[in-house]
Amino acid sequence: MKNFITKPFWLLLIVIFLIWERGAAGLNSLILPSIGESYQALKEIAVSGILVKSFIITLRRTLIAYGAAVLAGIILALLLHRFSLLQRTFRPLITIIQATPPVVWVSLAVVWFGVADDLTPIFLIFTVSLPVIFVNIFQGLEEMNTDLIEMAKAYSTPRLRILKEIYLPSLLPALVSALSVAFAFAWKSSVFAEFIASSSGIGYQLSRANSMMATDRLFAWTIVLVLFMLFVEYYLLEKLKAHVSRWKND
Amino acid sequence: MTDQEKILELNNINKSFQDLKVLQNLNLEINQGEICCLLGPSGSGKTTLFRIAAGLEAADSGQIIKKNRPRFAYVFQSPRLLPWKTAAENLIFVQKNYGLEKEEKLRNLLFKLSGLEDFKDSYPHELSGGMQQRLELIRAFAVKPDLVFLDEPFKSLDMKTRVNLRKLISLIQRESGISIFLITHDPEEALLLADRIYILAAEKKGILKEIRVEEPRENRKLADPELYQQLENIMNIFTSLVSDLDYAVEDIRKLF
Repeated sequence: MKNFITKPFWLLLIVIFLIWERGAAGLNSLILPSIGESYQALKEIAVSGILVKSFIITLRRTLIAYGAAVLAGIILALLLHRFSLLQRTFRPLITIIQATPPVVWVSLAVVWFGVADDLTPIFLIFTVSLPVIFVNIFQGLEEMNTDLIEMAKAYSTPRLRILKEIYLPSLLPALVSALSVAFAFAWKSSVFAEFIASSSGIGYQLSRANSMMATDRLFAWTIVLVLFMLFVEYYLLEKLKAHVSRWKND
Repeated sequence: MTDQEKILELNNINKSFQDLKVLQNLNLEINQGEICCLLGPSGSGKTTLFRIAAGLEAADSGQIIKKNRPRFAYVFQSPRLLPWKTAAENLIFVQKNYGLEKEEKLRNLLFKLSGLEDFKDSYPHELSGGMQQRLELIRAFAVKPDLVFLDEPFKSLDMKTRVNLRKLISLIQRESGISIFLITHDPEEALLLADRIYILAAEKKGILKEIRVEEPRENRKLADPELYQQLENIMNIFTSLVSDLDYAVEDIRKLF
């Protein structure tokens, strides 16, 4: 949180609010609602219970798909690192998946699963997050200090301890960085998929607000999305980063 | 050879890297309770031989005989410490492999001897280069080894740290009887520490000469005539290996 609460950032935020308020004063609230109107819309969705309900739905989908992508990404990275034939076969495939625009995956998901509430967002999050996790972990494995492993082997360290006490701590910084980048992708993909092909979740609420021209609600939901992302990035992940790099010379 | 018991014996070792032959029919032995030194210039195959002797690399052919399954310990050229573990945890990490993790008294003694007693809970990045090398050294002794392999442990250290480490190795070796196999390119280092010196030369792809240093280690000073003579001999061996450049005199005059 320390990195987040810095004086220049708060100053910038005040400037943004001032510009927002000033701009909104001269424009129709359909184009740009004021801070007060957006706050009012936020209060409404909170009181009505839609906020908590939609938030939980989106979060659940994100966590399921993100968790699966993390697990699959780590296993895939370990396998491709260990077996060069697998690496030569599947490495380009990961790049192809990564290079395909998310909108293609959503379109395909709609074709394959229909407007399925859970499946389309989960499919998109998984497909978008997996390469991010894989690439980071794979790179971490490739850059691993083999001298330490040789030292441990020379001192007759059992394989399981080498895995636990050398591989894992070596990979933690790469893993945390992967978790951080992939979560941002996952969270945005979830909302995107819900926007296009779902009847629940924050993305769906955004789509409804959009079709109803309720710009104040669009802003309210955006605030919720951004605040949650900031909480994850600057609080949860920051804590995790500080924990795994406590032995580093920063 | 005397009737000293051999702890490690290398017979007819051959090693090549692609087409480059590094070691050819090399024979070497390390006796129980001695400091045996492998002295040679860069590129003479010292580290290759070290790695083969230490079991870190396989020879192309030859025989390695270990007596009574000795416990080996290693001091690498640049410290290989686990950066996420404190100094004490780095020692415990290797001690655990031999059921020695409860030997706190031994750890404390080693920390005290190496001047690191106030840094037990420090992470490697919090220690200077010399301190890290000392930690690497005491980690080797923390496993109560039979034979310690030291690969140019003083290479990038200042004079004071070198003298300190030399003293430390010498003391522990003398009192514990642990055997030591030291690699160095520095003849002075070899003469001050070793009981026996093997001179390795790339030209021969093996041992060029074996030298025994009789003087008790504690009294050795390079200024001593006997030791100085041995140093001179070693220097002469190395000088004789340097190729003659006279053939280039004319070209240098012409081209500059």
